[in-house]
Amino acid sequence: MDPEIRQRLDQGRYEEAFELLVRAYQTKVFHLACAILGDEALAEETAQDVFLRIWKGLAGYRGQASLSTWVYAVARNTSLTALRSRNAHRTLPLHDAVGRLEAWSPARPERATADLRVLVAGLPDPYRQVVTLYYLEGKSYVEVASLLDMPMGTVKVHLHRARKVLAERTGRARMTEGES
Amino acid sequence: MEGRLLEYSDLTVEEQRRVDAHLTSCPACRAWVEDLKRVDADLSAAFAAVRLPPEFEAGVLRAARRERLWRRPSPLPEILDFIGWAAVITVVTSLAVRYLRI
Repeated sequence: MDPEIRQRLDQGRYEEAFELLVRAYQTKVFHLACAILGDEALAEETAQDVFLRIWKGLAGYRGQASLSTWVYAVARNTSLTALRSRNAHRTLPLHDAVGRLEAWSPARPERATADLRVLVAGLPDPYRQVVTLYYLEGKSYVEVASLLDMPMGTVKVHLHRARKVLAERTGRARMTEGES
Repeated sequence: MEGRLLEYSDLTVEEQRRVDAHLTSCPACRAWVEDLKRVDADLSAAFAAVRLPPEFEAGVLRAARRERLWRRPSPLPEILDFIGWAAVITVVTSLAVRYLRI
């Protein structure tokens, strides 16, 4: 899709290029905004803002960076600005998140996924972002590293730590539930 | 062993065989792997429901049409380029004409 978009940009057909770009990148941009913000409604609003910024800058895009690199950079910066303006201090430190994991109830399997997402939302930013994107992007380290502009090794370390905490705490809660 | 279990899918076939052999004789690790699998399944299910509404694309395009704030690239570089080449051609042509007359 990128070569088609660039071809239209070279020809000055900006509206067509923009339509193709939105179609190609809307899901990735939304996923990235979801991961950074941890809030779907705000992520949708932010994704729209991302594309409007891209639209305004489209004529100035000279192709120095690849199209995806440029789009992801705009999406990251816009999402981080939205996160700061919302309230950067809402994220809990890891030990608080662990405390919330203790409250996870295996006796209510129908609520397990919803509860788990609440727990993920309480993780510190880097862990929450990596875990969210990993599952939204079909468990691809490459996509997570590319979207967050993070080394692959760092993605794996964050992901493993977060999964370890989640598995241990939910397992412990399940055992406690079994004993009682 | 914990690290190996966490990165199981990234291990070589040989390393996975070794981990599998360990799991057959270690109930604690087996239980931990089960917890890990359950978390993976729950997270996959939880995030599978996250989708953009189908009207998102149309909404963005409508908003962009309203904005109309983007600027077309300035034609100035092309004009200057044209003037430059025209000057070069004029100079070369006049020199050639003058040389041929001599």
